[in-house]
This record gives sequence, C-alpha cells and structure tokens, in this order.
Amino acid sequence: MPSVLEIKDLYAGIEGKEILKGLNLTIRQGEIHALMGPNGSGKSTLANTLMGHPDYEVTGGEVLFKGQNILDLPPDVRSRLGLFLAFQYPTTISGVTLAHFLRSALNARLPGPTDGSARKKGIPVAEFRKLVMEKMKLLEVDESFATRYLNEGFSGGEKKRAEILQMAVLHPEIAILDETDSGLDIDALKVVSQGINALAGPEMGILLITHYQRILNYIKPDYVHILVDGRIVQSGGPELAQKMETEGYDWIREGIADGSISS
Amino acid sequence: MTRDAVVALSDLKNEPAWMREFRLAAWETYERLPQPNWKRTDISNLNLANLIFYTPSGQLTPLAQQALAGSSEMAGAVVQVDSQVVHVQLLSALLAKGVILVDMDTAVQQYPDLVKKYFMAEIIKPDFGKFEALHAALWSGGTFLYVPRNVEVEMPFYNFLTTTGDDRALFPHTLIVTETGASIHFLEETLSETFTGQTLVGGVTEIYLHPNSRVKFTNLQNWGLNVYNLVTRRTMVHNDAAINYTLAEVGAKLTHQYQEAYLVGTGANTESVGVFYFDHDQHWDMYALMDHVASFTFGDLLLRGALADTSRSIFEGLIKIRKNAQETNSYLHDNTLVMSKHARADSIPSLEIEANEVRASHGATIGQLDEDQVFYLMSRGIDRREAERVILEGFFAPVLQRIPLEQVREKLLGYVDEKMGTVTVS
Ligand SMILES: Nc1ncnc2c1ncn2[C@@H]1O[C@H](COP(=O)(O)OP(=O)(O)OP(=O)(O)O)[C@@H](O)[C@H]1O
Ligand SMILES: [Mg+2]
Repeated sequence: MPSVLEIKDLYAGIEGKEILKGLNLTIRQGEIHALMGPNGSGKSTLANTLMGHPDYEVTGGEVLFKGQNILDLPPDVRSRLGLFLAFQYPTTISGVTLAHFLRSALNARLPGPTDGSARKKGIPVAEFRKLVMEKMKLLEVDESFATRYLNEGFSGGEKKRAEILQMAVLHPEIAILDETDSGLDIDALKVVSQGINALAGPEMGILLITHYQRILNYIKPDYVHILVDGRIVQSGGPELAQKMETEGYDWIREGIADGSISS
Repeated sequence: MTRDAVVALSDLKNEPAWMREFRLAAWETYERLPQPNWKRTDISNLNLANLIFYTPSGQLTPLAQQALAGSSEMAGAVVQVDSQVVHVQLLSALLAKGVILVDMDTAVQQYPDLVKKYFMAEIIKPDFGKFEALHAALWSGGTFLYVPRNVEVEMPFYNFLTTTGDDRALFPHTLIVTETGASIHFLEETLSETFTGQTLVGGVTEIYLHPNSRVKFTNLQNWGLNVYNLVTRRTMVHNDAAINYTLAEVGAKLTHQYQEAYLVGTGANTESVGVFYFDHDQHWDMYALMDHVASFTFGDLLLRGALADTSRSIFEGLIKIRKNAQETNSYLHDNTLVMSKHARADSIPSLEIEANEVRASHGATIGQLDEDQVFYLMSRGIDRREAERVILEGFFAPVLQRIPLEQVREKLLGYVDEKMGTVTVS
C-alpha cells in the first residue's frame, strides 16, 4: 500500500501571525502535485510546518503520514519516516562537508540508536562513496561538491542541486520541493528536472512548490493546486498550471471576490 | 606548606645548596606577595592548607601505562604520576646527538649549569606572581628538554602527567631549550579521573628558543573535574625562531592560565591555535600575550571553544607592539559558541601599539547555536544531539585542521563526544 501524507484542515503561523487557514491536501506515494501561489501566500510555511520547523506553530488541524499524526514528532523522526524537504533557502553550515553530513544522515537511518553511535561503523565508506558518486553523476554535480562545506559559497543553482542530491541519496517516500526551480538557469533547470524525474515513480510522492509554470514543462504533475492566503482555492490537472501561466492570479482573485471561487 | 616543608623537600631530594637557597628565597617571595587579583576567577574555595604538596607515587598507573603504550612513535617520553617522574625514555640516536631529556629533578643534579642559566631565571621569575613563587619553592617533577644546535627532530617528545587521588598539590616544571637551528615538537598530555577532594596543579612551563629554532608545543588537557589547574607558560623567542602553540582543553574544574610569547629577536614568530569544550560548572580563564619587542615579528592566535551547562570561559588576549617592533604583523581571533542559556563567555581582546609601521587586528565573536542549522540537519534524519555534535565539529574545523597531530585531534573529538553523551563505537 502506498504511503500517504494527509493534511487536514491545517492552521499554522509564525510569530503569532496566522498564515495557513484551513489547508487540505492529500499526497500519495507515486503522485506529483504542483502547488502554486503568489509570494507570501504560505507555500514555505506549509513546507516548514510539515517538516516541523520549531518557529512555526500549528494552531489547528492534523497531518497524518502513514496513518500517524506527525505534528508532535521532531523533524528527525519525520525524516526517518520518509518525509523530505528541499529548502527554498538552504542553510550554510561551515566546517561540515556535504559528504560527512550525508553520511551522518544515512547512518541515522540505520537500525539501532539514532544518537550517532552507529556513526563510526555506519555504512561502509566504499558503499557510501559509490552511492554518492552515482547520484552526483545523475544530477551532473561536480565531484568537488562532496568535499565542500555545506552550501558555503554555493551559487543559488548549486544549492538547489545539492538539495536534490540529498533527496536522491535519502530516497524519501514523500518529498516537498520548495521552489527548487527558482534561481536556476535553463540548463540547470533541465538537469535538475531530469534528476527529479529519474527519482520520481511509484516509490515517491512529490509536492512541487513553485510560482512559475516553467518547471512544469519538464516535470508533469498529476495535480495542480492554487494556494492563496493560506488556503487551496483551486485544484485541477496540468491544464490548471497552463491557465495560471496565461491568465495569472487575477481570475482567481476576482473569483474569490465575486464568490464564484470559495476561499 | 611551611618554610620547614621547603627545607625538608630539598633535603629529601638531596639538592645542591643553590637550589635549596633558590627555593627558600622563592618561599619568602611567596609569603610577601599578595593573593592574585584575578578579575574574573575566584579561587578562594581552594583550601591550600588541606593539600599534600608532595606525593611521591613512584608507579606507572593504568592510565599512564595506556598513555605509554602509544609512545613508540615518539622521540622520547617522560611520564609523571603525582609529584614524581616515573618513566623516561629517549631514542638512542638522539642521545648520541646530545639531546637531553630527563626529569627536572635529575636535571638539577646532572646539568646544574644549564638549569641555573634557564630555570626561573629569565623567562619566568618567582616573583611573577604568588602561585609562581609557590611553584618555585615547592616544584617537583617535570621535564627538562635540551636540544643542541641544528638538531631537528620530527617525532614529538611526549610528556604525560596524571594524578592518583585528591587533596594534593602538584608543581611540575617544564623547561625546554632549543639551540640555534634546532627544531622539535613537544606534546604534553594531562589526564586524570575526577576525585572528590580538591587537587591543585600549579605547573610552570618555560621555553627558550635560540635563533632560528622551532618549537611546536601541544597541550592536551583533560584533568579531572576536581582539579584547579593554574598554568604559567612563557616563551622567549629569539631571531627568526618560531613557537607554535596548540591547546586542546576539555578538563579541570577551574583553569587559570597565562600563555605568553616574548618575541625578542628580529623575525621571531608565534602562531597558536586553541580549542576547548567545557560543561558542568567548569571555569576556564586564559590570558594570552603576544609581546612584540623586535621588528619584523609575527603573531597569530586563533581560538575556538564551546560551552555547555553552566560552564564559563574568559579569554583575555593582548597584542603588545613595542616601539622598536616596526614591520610587525599580529592577529588575534577568538570565537565562542555558547550552547546553553546558563553558560557564559567573555572575550577581552586588546591592542597596545607603540610602533607605527605595523599591522594588527583582533576579532571576537560569541554566539549561540544556530537553530536553523540544527533544523536543517534534523530534517535529514539526524537527531538533535548528533546535529549539535556535527555543527560543533564544523565550528572547530578551522582549528582542528591546524592541530599538527592526528592523535591529538582524535582524542580531543573523542573527549568532546564523551562529554556530549554521544557513545562512540571504535
Ligand atoms: N520569520 C517570519 N516572521 C514573520 N513573518 C513571516 C516569517 N516568515 C514568513 N513570514 C510571513 O508569512 C507569510 C507567508 O510566507 P511564506 O514564506 O510561507 O510565503 P511563500 O508563499 O513561500 O512566498 P514566496 O513565494 O515568496 O516564497 C508572508 O507574509 C511572510 O512575510
Ligand atoms: Mg516560499
């Protein structure tokens, strides 16, 4: 049975400000959902809330993953359950190489205590290297990446590739990609999209957050949702993304104003 | 601790008259000097009257044996347990080249001229401060290393110190002299269990570098949490000579240390790196001085440390550039990561510059753990404790890269892991 991420009537905010106002969305392993919405509509708030960022406060609703309410679980447990977030703005961690970090992340997935005691034994170096090299090749990432400090001095595009590289290595069941397309030039966008497509399939569900239709030329979503002011106001198939591209958000706003679209 | 005790100690050691007189003069100095006036470190809890100032243990303890087991890669080794050196070894090839490696008590008997010339005579005098005077009166054990002209030794000399109980005071004295063109690495490791009573370690280290000689001095400090660790470490650096200090500290209840480099010769150089991790109520106070007396001298110090629980660090760093020290460069940087709300770090860097053709700068940062970094790592499945450890290791990286000995780096990281409660499978 495929794993399911169910977001039910979710209310969440930051610093006392309510951003998500009753959001409903269900993502199954194997499906690709695109989530579009104007700046500030709450896309990253949703992503961070799903992953368990401590700054975001949930004020209502629930999120079930594999039937379990995950809202009380710390981020590392959510991750090990099979959830992944590719950040819109990945953090820099000086002194920690991408390889070292990835190895820690993989070792944390080994059975037994998660406190790093498996760290030294962990997955064998040769096996690890092979896995990372293979994924780096897939994403056309330079080998030197592995020995560079996490996101330090990475260009915008490199950061996004590094996020997808992590996804490739950790192979989650449900991945949230927050604006992975922004900041990428057309060549990089193609490579990253190909990488995502290679990873997508029955094993992985994807929530692709974007506010441009551009990436949807390369990654074909099964569903498209429009987020406005903390709520999904429209859902449909790929044709909805097309309509957004040509008509923008105005028809949605007008629809909300005249009541033809319920918010 | 009395004047009579000083006499008795000198008698016991069967010392020549000049050393006995030296001790007695130092005792008078001790009695005359006021208590040290350290602004941020209070040792009024230390009950000196309770401490046994001379403990001849005379045996290799399991800890010491363990330490020695790894010393085959060393140029020589001196192992001290409590007040006495219990083991000395030196590669015969170095002995043949005239290298002297003995315990300090033996040096007094066998090399009186060298000892008279350097022992608390010029680098650190007994009146430096109250504890230095006490040390001068009651010193016992320690290492004397003398390296003749142009003798270059790559393997480190190893000095291991431990203590076997509480309620004692140790006063080990280390004296290193490198003649012109000599080059060595000296590794000092201190390690003990945590006992319930108090222990005082009042160590003095003097290093004298003749022109164009090089000393790397590494200190790995993991005293038990009952130890009051008072350190005075001073180096005299002549023309074109270079002293490299590496400090890696995790132990002791309380540390107060002076680390000073006197760059008295043209082109003299000092580079230091330090790293520390403290928890519980550990207190660490360091005063570092780079004193540029001559021209074309260079100084650089980089310190990184982290504090957990209610621990406390104080770093006072001074770059002093005297009138004649033109064309000098000197840099001081310290960064402290405060990992708990109840820990506290102070950094007081300062510059005193009398010359005009110089370049000098200092910078200090004190910061907290970055919660976004913790979240980032956790979002990849790494639990909080491991995430903190990974971030800390990254924070230490610039210093760790400059620690010259792999085994010191590994031991340090092992100690930090242990303190953070992370079990390491090796
Ligand atoms: N740390 C914060 N403190 C206060 N308000 C915040 C914070 N982070 C985000 N917000 C606010 O929350 C709202 C939603 O932000 P969010 O980042 O979720 O939007 P988004 O849809 O991802 O936008 P974008 O397309 O620009 O990435 C915005 O109004 C934003 O200003
Ligand atoms: Mg966003």
